Amino acid sequence: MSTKMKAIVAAASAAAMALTLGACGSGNGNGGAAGAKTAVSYSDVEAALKSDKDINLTMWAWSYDTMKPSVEAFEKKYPHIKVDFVSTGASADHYTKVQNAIKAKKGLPDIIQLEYDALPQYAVQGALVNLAGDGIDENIGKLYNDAAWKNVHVGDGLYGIPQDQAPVAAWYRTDILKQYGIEIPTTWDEYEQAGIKLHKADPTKYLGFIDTSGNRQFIQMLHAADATPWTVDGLKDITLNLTNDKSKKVAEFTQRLIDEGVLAAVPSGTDEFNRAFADGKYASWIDGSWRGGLFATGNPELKGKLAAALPPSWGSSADDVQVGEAGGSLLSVTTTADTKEKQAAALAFINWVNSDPESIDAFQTVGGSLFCAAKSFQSDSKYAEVDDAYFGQKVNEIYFKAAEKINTNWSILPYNNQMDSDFKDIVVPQMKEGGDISSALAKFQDKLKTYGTEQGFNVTAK
Amino acid sequence: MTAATASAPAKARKTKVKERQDWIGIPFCLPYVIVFLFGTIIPLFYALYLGFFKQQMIGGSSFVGFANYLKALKDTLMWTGFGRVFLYFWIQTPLMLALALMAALMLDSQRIRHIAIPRILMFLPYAVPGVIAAMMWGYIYGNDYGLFGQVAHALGVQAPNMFGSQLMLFAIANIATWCFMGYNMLIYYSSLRVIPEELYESARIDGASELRIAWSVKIPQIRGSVMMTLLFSLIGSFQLFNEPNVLKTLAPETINSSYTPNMYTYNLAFTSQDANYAAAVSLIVGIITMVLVAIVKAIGNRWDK
Repeated sequence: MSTKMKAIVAAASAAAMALTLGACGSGNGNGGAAGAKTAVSYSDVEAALKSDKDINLTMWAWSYDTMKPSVEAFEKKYPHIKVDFVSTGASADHYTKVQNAIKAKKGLPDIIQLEYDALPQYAVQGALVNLAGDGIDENIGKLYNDAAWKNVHVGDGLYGIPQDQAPVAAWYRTDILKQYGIEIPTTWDEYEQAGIKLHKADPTKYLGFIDTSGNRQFIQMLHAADATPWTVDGLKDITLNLTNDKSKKVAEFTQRLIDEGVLAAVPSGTDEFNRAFADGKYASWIDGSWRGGLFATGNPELKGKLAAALPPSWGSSADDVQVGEAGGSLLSVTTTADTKEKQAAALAFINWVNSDPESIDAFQTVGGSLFCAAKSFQSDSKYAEVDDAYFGQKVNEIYFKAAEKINTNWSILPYNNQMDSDFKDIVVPQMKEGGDISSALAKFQDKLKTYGTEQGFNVTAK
Repeated sequence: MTAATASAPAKARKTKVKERQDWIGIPFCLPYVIVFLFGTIIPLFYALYLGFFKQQMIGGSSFVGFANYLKALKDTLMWTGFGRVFLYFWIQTPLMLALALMAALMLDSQRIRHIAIPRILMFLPYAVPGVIAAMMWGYIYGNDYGLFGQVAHALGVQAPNMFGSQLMLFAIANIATWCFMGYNMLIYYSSLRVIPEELYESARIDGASELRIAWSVKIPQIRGSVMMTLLFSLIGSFQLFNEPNVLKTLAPETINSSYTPNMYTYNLAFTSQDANYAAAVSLIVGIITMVLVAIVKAIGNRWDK
């Protein structure tokens, strides 16, 4: 084979990379202007449901099967609004398709599903309609959990309607705790003492783990500890403060728990991890409430051995507990819906799907068991009272309480994916015995500042 | 037919035939040429073009000249990745090619019966997709439940942490060697098969041992194939992606987003949403790889003489 041929083969990779890049670039060309503020008021939304004028909407979502029964129920009730509902497959594919459509400036549907963590990124790119019209906040905002309602805001704009939520909860292996005479801890101090006791009694066991596979667990700890590592004002201004006292306290405490053998630093989701958890290497798991539903299918052998509880409190007693979040999604109206009528119908539709008792019921029965953000779900004793066969507890009651305790003093960075990648590059390598998470946070902050500034944000680091 | 004996009309006819032969080649090449044009050449220039722009979440797209290319040349993350794959090349390639060569020589020694069986067994791992192989080895390396951990446990020793920063390159090299050894073996073996038997006979008459024949006759005869596999491996090493990308989920503390140049460009494009800078970095990665290939090829040509 000639040099030229080899060179061609070598070049092919660069080229292949370039090709995919072309198909999957970032951003649109409109300079990140905020979506035009809608003129849609609450009375328009009400009128959209009563009107008999045909409206056709398009929607993309990855949780198609979950939502389909609700969408069908809506169409039956309001036949003049037709929704062309398209499944986009896995959520990663969904975001690729959405980003491509924004970039190409065509093909974006009227309504898209997004996660809270991804919302600001699309809002600042100007792809979404600001829904904060007259009377919307007063009449629709009250239908949802406060934290969820805050999460669908970016700056002063309202860019979606919350669908589900993931307050953080904790699950404990009651059989192991009982064996070693340990009570379920309610504060982090108790958690530390319990963890030391367990690890001393059996060095192969840890009370919990700190997940090194991503930012989720650590960042939600900052959220729960009210550490405000960053604040976002409007669509452009970001203040980073990862070196403040509370962030430092969480970092140093986490480091201490790792050094003491209370927490094992380990990536979750691997085969090795799942088997170790099933074998009782980790006696607790702290994660979004959706995790509770996964145990029944993933760990049927642990039925009756796991108990749900509120996560440990950073304060001195259980009453001070503030809770972080780990996921959750919403529905947004995009700038493709360019008429007032369409926007009003789209908002009416997503609000109905996300909060109407009929839809909530469909989410709980036909569609599975979604942890809805609507108060019609979280305040309904019918759902709180359900005895969970797997845990032998009224787990919803616990998750509802956690949802109530979510710390609303929290902003989501408009470049959350990059944050996760930088977290893994910079903070995760320090999550080990003898590591230094606290000083890693300072480097992490520098990286976040550099990236944010390059992307055109006004970033200040404290 | 030679020009001296050919009559004028015959000569003309021959030219005509020759012309038609030239033309007939084009349709046969066309599918390749089209795919090559649209799959390689055009994207290459598109990447070059992309590299001249900068896209921001706030501020949109703007022309920045050579800024991305200059930034890439000073990018320590890219160069660290390069250093790593360069080291990896020195660990993995000599080992794999030596094993492949030994295997091929053994198969060619004519002392193995039912040769098809070991041949297919050695080639079989190549049929396993790289991602699957990496996942499989990821399980095997596991410290608690993997084969490594279980064996160490049975022996009462501490299993080596294959996912630590010291051993990770070896862990990856092992996976790649397992995958591609049989492939290289097959190339060597087929080259060995076409060496005329007479060469061995005359060597034996001269009193050469089988080892001596392997060293002095067989290996020099297949140096063209050795050169080719060396170039393949060089390119493969510099494009290392699948194995570390799969092992990253098992060892996020060791493998970062810029562990290899290809992982770096991938993350720039899909995580940082910076297609423009990713295009610039991948072009530079491509050019450096080409230069290295040219150097190795030049050294190889000297060996040929």
